[in-house]
Parts: sequence; C-alpha cells; structure tokens
Amino acid sequence: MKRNNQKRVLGLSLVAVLLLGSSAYAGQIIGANASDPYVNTTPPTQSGFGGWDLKDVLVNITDVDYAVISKIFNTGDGTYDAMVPGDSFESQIMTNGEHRGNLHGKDWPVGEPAGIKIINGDSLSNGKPDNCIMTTSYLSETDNPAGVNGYLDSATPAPTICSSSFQSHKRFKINMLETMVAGKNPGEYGNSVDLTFNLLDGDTSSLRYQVLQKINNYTGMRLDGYKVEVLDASGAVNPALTLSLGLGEDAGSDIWTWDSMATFSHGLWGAADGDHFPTDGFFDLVAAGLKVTGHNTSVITGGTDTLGSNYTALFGNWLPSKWQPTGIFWDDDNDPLTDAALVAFWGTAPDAAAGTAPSWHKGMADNWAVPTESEFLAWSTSPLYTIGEIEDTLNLGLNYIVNVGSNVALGGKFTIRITPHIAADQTPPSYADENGSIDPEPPVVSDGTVAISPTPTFIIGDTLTLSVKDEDQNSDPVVKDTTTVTVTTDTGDKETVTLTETEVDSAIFNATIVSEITTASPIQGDGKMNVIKDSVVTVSYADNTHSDTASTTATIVTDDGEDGEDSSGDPASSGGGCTYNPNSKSFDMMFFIIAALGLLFPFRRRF
Amino acid sequence: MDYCFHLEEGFKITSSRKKINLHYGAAIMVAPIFILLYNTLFSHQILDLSAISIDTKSLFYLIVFYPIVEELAFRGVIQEVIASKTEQYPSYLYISVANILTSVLFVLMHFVHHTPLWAMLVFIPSLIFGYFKEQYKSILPSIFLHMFYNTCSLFLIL
Repeated sequence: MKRNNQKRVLGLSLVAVLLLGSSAYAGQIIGANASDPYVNTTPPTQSGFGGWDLKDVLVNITDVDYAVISKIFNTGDGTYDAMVPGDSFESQIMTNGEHRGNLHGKDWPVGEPAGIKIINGDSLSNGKPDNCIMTTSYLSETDNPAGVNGYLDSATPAPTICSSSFQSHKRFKINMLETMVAGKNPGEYGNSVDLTFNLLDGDTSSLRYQVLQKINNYTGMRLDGYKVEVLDASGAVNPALTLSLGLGEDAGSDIWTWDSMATFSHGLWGAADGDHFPTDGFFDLVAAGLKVTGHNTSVITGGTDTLGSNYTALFGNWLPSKWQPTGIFWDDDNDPLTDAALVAFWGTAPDAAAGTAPSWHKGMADNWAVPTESEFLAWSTSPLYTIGEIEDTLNLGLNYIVNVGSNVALGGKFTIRITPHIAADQTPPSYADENGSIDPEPPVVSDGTVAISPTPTFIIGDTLTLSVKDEDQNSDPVVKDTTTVTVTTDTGDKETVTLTETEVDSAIFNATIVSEITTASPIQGDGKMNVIKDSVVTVSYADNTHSDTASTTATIVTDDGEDGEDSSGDPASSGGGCTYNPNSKSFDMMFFIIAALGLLFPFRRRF
Repeated sequence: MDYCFHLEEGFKITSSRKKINLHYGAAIMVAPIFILLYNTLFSHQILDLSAISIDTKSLFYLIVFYPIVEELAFRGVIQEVIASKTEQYPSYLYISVANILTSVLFVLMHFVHHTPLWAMLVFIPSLIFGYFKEQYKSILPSIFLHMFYNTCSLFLIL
C-alpha cells in the first residue's frame, strides 16, 4: 500500500511538473506573470512593461491636470524619473501620424506610466482568461491580499493583476479625440486608434487575453456605436487572431450577459445586486450601454442598439465631453483616492416635457426631486461636497477577449483597432443653451435655513457640519460674526454649538462637531454627539424671525464597506453562538435578559 | 470473580468516558469545517482584520464573555429546567428533548441580530453544546466548545 501511494505521489508530481513546465513555454504577449513580485529599481520601472508597443506613443509625465512636467519616461526600457503625489501621466497615441487618443491611468502613487501592462498566468474563474491587458495600477490596503498598503509610496508596492478585486482600478481609459471624427460625417464610422502589442519570439501556442478597458468620448460629437478589430503585424485579418464575447466559454454558459459587454458606469445605471452594487444606479436600475455583436471573428461591433435605459431620455446619444452634465458629488468616505458619490445633477428628469428648463435634481431613487434648501446649504458648506462634471456619462466600459494564436503566424505583433461610430443626431442636450453651453444656476438658499451634513445618513465617527444662513446674524460686514444652534439626539444627547461666519459678509455660518459611538448614557455638553446606530441627530436654529431644523441618521460601516444594516460582519456578532450587537439599541436589553438567566445558574436545581 | 466483575464495570465506565472524549475531540475538529462550509455556501466574510486590530474589547466579548454568559443561561439554566420536565421522553440519536428545545430557543434569540439563515444555522452547534453538557454533566466543556467555535469563526480566512 505504501509503495502504491509513493508511486501515485510521484506520478502526480511528474504531471504537475509537466503542466507547470509546459506553461513556461506557452505563447504570450510580453509582460509580467501574475505571481511576479514587484521589483524595486532605481529609477523605477513600469511593472509588466514591454507588451504594449510604444513606437507610436508619446508618454508624458504630468501634473494631475495633465500639464507636462520635466520628468521623463523611457519608452525603451520602461524606466521613469521618480514621481511624487500630485504627479500623473498621459500617453498620447498616434495612429497614421495623427494624435488620435490619450490614455490616462490613476495618478501616482495609485498608478504609474505608461498606462497599459500585460499580465500572464493568473487564475480566474467563470471561464475568464488567465491573462489580461490592463492598466498600470497598484492595490490599496483594502484590496491587497497582504492587508497592507500596496501603492507605490509604500514599502511593498503590490501591482494589480487580472484577478484583483472588484473596483481595484484595472481598466485603462482611452480618450478618443476629435481627430477620430475629423473629416467624417454623422452616421459614418470615424477614424481609428490603434494599440499594438509585442509577442514573445517564436512561440506557436494560443492564449486568451481579456482586455480591461474603457473608451471615452472626447471627440466633440455624439456617438452611437464603435467597432473593435484585431489585425496581425502586416495589418491584415488573420485566422490565428480573433475576438470573443465569451459566449459559451464558461462551461457552456456565457461569461458576460448580453447587457454587460459595453456599459456605462453601473453606479449611474444598473440594478443593485447584493454583491458588488448595494444600491440601484443613480439614474436608472437598467444598465446603460450598447448591444454588442460578433464572436470568434476579427471584429466586434457595439451599437447602434442600446440596452434600454433612460440614458437617451436624459442625455440623448453617447455624450461628448463638451456636453457632460454637471453634478454635485459627496466624498462619503473622505478619501480623495476613491470615487465620490453623485447626489444631484443639473438637467431635466427623463420624463420631462420638451422645452422644460433645466434645474437641480436628485436621482431616480428620490423620484428626481429638487434638493431642499437645507440640503443645498449643507452641501455648499461641507468640504465633502463638490460641484463637478459627471465624466462617467462619457465612458463606455468594454468586456471582450482577444484570442492570440501562433506568434509565428502573426508576425510577432498584433493590433487592436478601435473605431467610433458617429451618431446621426447631433442635437445638444436639454440642459445646454442655444450655443450648446452648459451653465448651471447656483442653488438658492433662503434666510433662516439650517443644515447638517452628511445627510440623510452619516457614519458614526464622522465629523458633522452644521450650517445656518441668516442675514440677520451678519451684524458686522467686516468681521466674522457668530450664532448658535442646538444639536440633539433621540437618545438624550444635547449640545450647544457656536457657528462662525464662513467669510466676513457671507451670512453663512458653520461649525463642526464629532460623532462618537456610545454604549452608556450620553454626556450633554461634552462637545461630542454620543450616538448609536440609527440615532437621529437634529440641529435646531431659532432667532427673532426664523426657525428651522434639519436631521441626519447614524449608521455604521460593515466589513464590506456598506452602511451597517446587517451586523453579521461585525466581529462581535459573528461566530456560532453570539446573540449580541453592541452597536444596536437592543444590545442592552438582550444582554441583560441573557445575563439575568445566567445568574440563576447556581439556583437552577430549585426549579 | 468479584474482582473481575468490578474490573469489567471499571472498563465499561472508562471506555464510555473515552468514547465521549473522542466525540468531544471530533466536535472540536469539525468546527473549522462547519465554518468553512457555511462561508462557502453563503459567501459570508468571516474575518475583518482591521476590526480585530482596533477593537480588542469586541474580541474579548465574542471569544470569552458571551460564550460564558450564553452557556450559563441556555445549557446551565434553561436546558436543566426543561430536562427536569421532559426526562420521561426518549432521546433521538443521543439528542434529548431538552437539548432540542433549548437549541430552538437559542436559534430564536439569534433572530434578533442576525439574518434568518445565520440564526437557523446556529442550531447544530447548539445541539453539540447541549450534548456535551449532558454527557459530561457540566457546562464547562460546552463553554470551552462555544469559545472554540466563536474563535474559529473569527480566525478562519477563506
């Protein structure tokens, strides 16, 4: 028996070695292996360099506004001058001698130039390839399996790979420029932008690569479709080089659903799925994007049929950058490196009659309601709220696979060619004026309005901002006046807070107060809001002529980053037998009942 | 003869205790498998490293305090009271009526703070705790087992 087991183990080991050895010689695009650790060099070297052919690419190291600075990226070996926070990069892609596209990635230290890397030999499930073409980014502490900061300014940078977690910045973004529609008419395909990739010499096998990318409309014209083609080194269609939409490639099922192959941001259009997306999209729960056709061919085509969301009703066909709508954003996690949440936009509701004047609106979940004056005041006085452009209305995320066959047959290189389709209808959106300009009106806030933010909920531990607008309290136009508000909770806390004018004559007063979780009775007047989950915090203001209140509700964050409705991620409530949740009001009652029963233990035999 | 008779009895008692100890060891070993199975089925994240590093009070409550209080209440008081009223009923697969009823109450208490699925899943560990309480006639083994199950749920990473 022992000898048989030994033979069995030896046989399995040989098979394993053969499999591992065979993969070392598999065909592939030049790049990094998923298991390769980060190599710290001086000067630094782009991880996964070499696969993206940079012959027709100008890589600039820039500031965050993409103004070129005096640092160099070496397109020959991938090294670059040391970067610091505030640095970024822009790779300008030339095709047929024209500057057709700009490729951007994450700012340093989250990303590095040149913007595209190749990862080989990863391990993915659901039929997805173990190799990918992706952006040059690094892992946050949350996404890093090692549980430490993996950005480039850390001691142990950890590059993203194909299997890195959801929303860990894997997609590269190509801004399609005006040259891609120059000389073309509405209803026609535009000019192409090419991405060329270098293959390992002499290999003859086939590998699949998922391309993780977005194409963004900076062409200046509305689009309604695109096509992606793959061509060999001579620029020809080649049977050894095809595109796949993943149909039937997940053990007989499709890798992607029909409505997820070319989509706009799921946070704006898409249904909550209880997994990656806890809430419905801001604009619609139906995905926005294009239907895609073509499979195992050299070309796939997106559009002109859409997925049926209200994108068209809100904005018309795929918007160009000059018409991107304006929104109010909330940095809910107070982290500038993560995406802020959209809370309102300037425009018209999707069912608004033609000719309706634009105004500020909340999203579908609030039935397109106009924000209240209290909300406007809270947003305008909190540093967590900003006005900006909703750029995600321009950015189409693509899901497809390139089947790369024999390198010898392909000539050592291949090209992915992207071409936009120009929409026939180029009408400006409803919120643009007759000149096509967008000029949102500033929100109006009446005298005596009070606000608290974040609202309608906040995470315990957040600093709350309290605001009042009242001309009556602006008694001296050359100094910053003060006024007071009372802040209470429904669990018994009460604080009196002095607000200071934001500027000498603004008539807007604000102050902050921290929130803190408590399991005991709250202490009034300690300068902190003592709260528990679901506590309602109310700010009240009154003077001789005005009175107003505003409220917000306390939440907690679970281990998956969602506001705490189910505390099952809380270590105090996981496990095989734990009934208590210290973050809930009912903790005290439940605990006392069980503890009281436990105290009867010495007397149990008397029952 | 008497000596042989006493020896036989001693052997039976010793082998019975050995069997219970073996069962106890098996219950300890099956804890990680149970937690892994639950997380595989329900994709429930069982560990938040950052929470452990900043909230040792919750760790103490979960691993030490709660198991003691719960076992005193359920196995120590409730199960014994129910047992005194139901001892005339036979056990099913070594599980007494008192153990079953106590475990039902245990599950009901978990509905207060947990999802229904999670609450129902604590039924099996509760039966195990109750079984060893009856076998050892002491709540100490069930307390330690409860602590171990809670620790496993915290420290197993998928």
